[in-house]
Amino acid sequence: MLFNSDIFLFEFLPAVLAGFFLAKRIAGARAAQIWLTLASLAFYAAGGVRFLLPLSASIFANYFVGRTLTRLHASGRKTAPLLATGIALNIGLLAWYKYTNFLLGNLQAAGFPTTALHIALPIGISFYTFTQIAFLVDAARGGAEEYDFVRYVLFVTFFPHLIAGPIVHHREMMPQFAPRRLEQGSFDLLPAGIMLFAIGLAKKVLLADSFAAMASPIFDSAATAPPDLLGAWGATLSYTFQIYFDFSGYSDMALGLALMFGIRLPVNFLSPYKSTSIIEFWRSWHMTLSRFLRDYLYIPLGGNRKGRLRRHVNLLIVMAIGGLWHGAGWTFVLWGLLHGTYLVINHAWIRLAGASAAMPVWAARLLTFLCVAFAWVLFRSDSLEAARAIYAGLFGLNGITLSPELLAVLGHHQPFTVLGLQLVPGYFQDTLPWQVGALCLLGLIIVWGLPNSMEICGFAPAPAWSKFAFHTRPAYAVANAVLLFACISVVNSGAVSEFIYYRF
Amino acid sequence: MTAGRYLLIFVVTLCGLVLLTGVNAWLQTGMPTRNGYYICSYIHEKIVRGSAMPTPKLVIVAGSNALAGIDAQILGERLSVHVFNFGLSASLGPGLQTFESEKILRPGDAALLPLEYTAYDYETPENSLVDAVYTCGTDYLRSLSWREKLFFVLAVRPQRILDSLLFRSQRGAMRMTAALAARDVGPYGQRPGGNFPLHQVAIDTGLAAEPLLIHLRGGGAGAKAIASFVAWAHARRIAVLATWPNTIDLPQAASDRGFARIREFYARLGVAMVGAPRDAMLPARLMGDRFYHPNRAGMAVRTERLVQLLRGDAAFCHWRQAGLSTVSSVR
Repeated sequence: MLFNSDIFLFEFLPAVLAGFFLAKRIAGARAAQIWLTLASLAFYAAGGVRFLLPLSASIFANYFVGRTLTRLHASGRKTAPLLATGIALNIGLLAWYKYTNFLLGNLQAAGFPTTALHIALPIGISFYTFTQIAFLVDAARGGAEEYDFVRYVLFVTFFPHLIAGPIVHHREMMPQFAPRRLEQGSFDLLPAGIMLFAIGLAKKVLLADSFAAMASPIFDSAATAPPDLLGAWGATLSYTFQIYFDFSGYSDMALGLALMFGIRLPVNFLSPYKSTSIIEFWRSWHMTLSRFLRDYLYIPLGGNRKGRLRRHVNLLIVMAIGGLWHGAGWTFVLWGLLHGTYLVINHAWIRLAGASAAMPVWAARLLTFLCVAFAWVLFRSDSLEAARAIYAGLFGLNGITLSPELLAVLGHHQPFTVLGLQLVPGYFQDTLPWQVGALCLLGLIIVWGLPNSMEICGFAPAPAWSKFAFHTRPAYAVANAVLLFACISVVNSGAVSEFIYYRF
Repeated sequence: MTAGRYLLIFVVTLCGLVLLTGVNAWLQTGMPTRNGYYICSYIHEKIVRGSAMPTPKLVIVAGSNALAGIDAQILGERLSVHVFNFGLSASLGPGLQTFESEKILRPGDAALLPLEYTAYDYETPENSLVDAVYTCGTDYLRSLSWREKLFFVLAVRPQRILDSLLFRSQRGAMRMTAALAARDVGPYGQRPGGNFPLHQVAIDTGLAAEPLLIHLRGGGAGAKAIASFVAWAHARRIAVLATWPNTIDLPQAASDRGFARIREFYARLGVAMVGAPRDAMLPARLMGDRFYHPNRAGMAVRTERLVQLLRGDAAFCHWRQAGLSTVSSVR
């Protein structure tokens, strides 16, 4: 079930909200907790009842392993063997569903006689597996002490974060699901929740889907119809904004939904395109994944404690695994490695040049943005061939399309030939290039010039110049209703599109 | 301000906006625009002509790929059955196409569905459908679920009122539009000879940048409308056959899984598919003004292929044999 679908907006959400507050009022917080758990399972089952089996198996196994780990830790006994088994089980489950066919495909490419298996990827498996791996590690360290089973199921399956994150920690969620905490909760967080949800929905349906319409045709056909210079840049920049508005929109909606029930999820985005370095970018993009990779992979690998070379190798390993987590394909691995390389260069730059080589903020921001956009090509491309075609287009190797009329006017005085760009007579499709340019300019103004949704809704300190801080004032209530209504109208006038991170 | 008060203002504003939209939709119901009135007149003309054709008849239900691509007269003559081309426009969606065709289908008839590939992926109404429904389609609107009705309520633009006032203020505009629509319906329902473009225009430009996706949206509005039509027809002893829509040769024809999904979809509904996707694909020289509109020569080629396919199709032959007896038993 998609957050931007009619069935969610008009049926599921109102029913679950009404049921939650009614259950709390009539039968108490425990009933509300059970109601929310059942609703979350129903939400998940709507995407395929058969996927409940791996989810349930994962929850049961991790719950019992986690409990045992806590007991072992409390009694001072060894936790490492059981922790390793638990992590292996989780990775095994994820690997079977997500990476089996990737492995078979590679074996086949290497000449082994294999055929692909029909394995359907359970929705959200990457997220709930990582959430529970973190739980096991915390349990082995003595950091997970609450073991009410219903609460544990709700911690894993709470529908706002189940499908596409944020990746949550046991210690930050379990106390919030305690009956006493749920009892204390009231309508107070509803206004901010609705506002955040509306902002997220607007990012998705008004912005991300508009950028998708520009990017998708070119990326989808890149392998067979390599784009020219403007087409490649248009598609790359459009996708750069699409994925930002799509995923940050999703995260806003998830946080907003949780707030409606009085639950605070961890912040997942903080204006990543305003970053002035790649290091800063990864501190503000998909923050809960970065936190997971840092705490449960980078630091256990040795982090920066074992010398510079080892740190750089660790960064490359972590980012390659991060890439592979996003999808079973070489394009994702390369995307991760490219970001790992960016990080290595960034650290080397800081060490070698120090503060004396600091760039102006605008230049650093632009350079970071372009590096990130350049890497998104790998992330979005269906194959390495498609990525190669887009990269060739970005560097002008597929030429530049100009109308025959313009070519005739230019005659021999063609500035592009000096640059070595091949001029191809032809016409742009309907949407290129001015519409893409205008939309990308709008995207830039929003991501660089406006406060982010966390700042607007008071979850992060707002910049001094910001006048958008959310208050429970009549004007905000009206604006919130208008924004939500506009989004619902758009949802109803076009096909509902999936969130990019639903596939992971 | 308390959260309760905030929520009250929020809900009241939202309800006000919904109410305004509802009033706008209610005001516009029955108000014709030029485009809507043309579509309604065109459908009306087809219903009049189609209803006049005796049972058993084969009714072709689809969008303009069939309208421009299947010659109902030749098909009827070669197969010795009555054939009526109820092709409308793909933008009207499979819901309205099948709903209107039900008005001319009688027990003992057969419906042939060469629906466009977009019909299987269809989800929400386009402007032309909204225009037509607000002009004359209240019966269609009533037949929809509340969620589909909501689509139409939210989809109608307030400025459509101005279009309608302008159209109605022009003397003789309605009469002329109706006459134009009637002229565009050939004797057997198909595109009349004079309506084919004189010159072939560039038709394949869109496909390179935006390849045609052969995609079936399982629980989507398009698939539901088709399934509902098949159930309606089977309950009335109306045979249903399906075939592939006319398109230019598609590069993915050999490998795309979408074709198999469409075939599986019809198999689940108990509908046999006539021929293979390639049978409905034509080279560029046989296409007219769209990549799914054959020109006159293309129409002849496609019609002849369909004749051969139907002659060899068990479901069609069974219907042709059983048609008369079914009619007599119903009567």
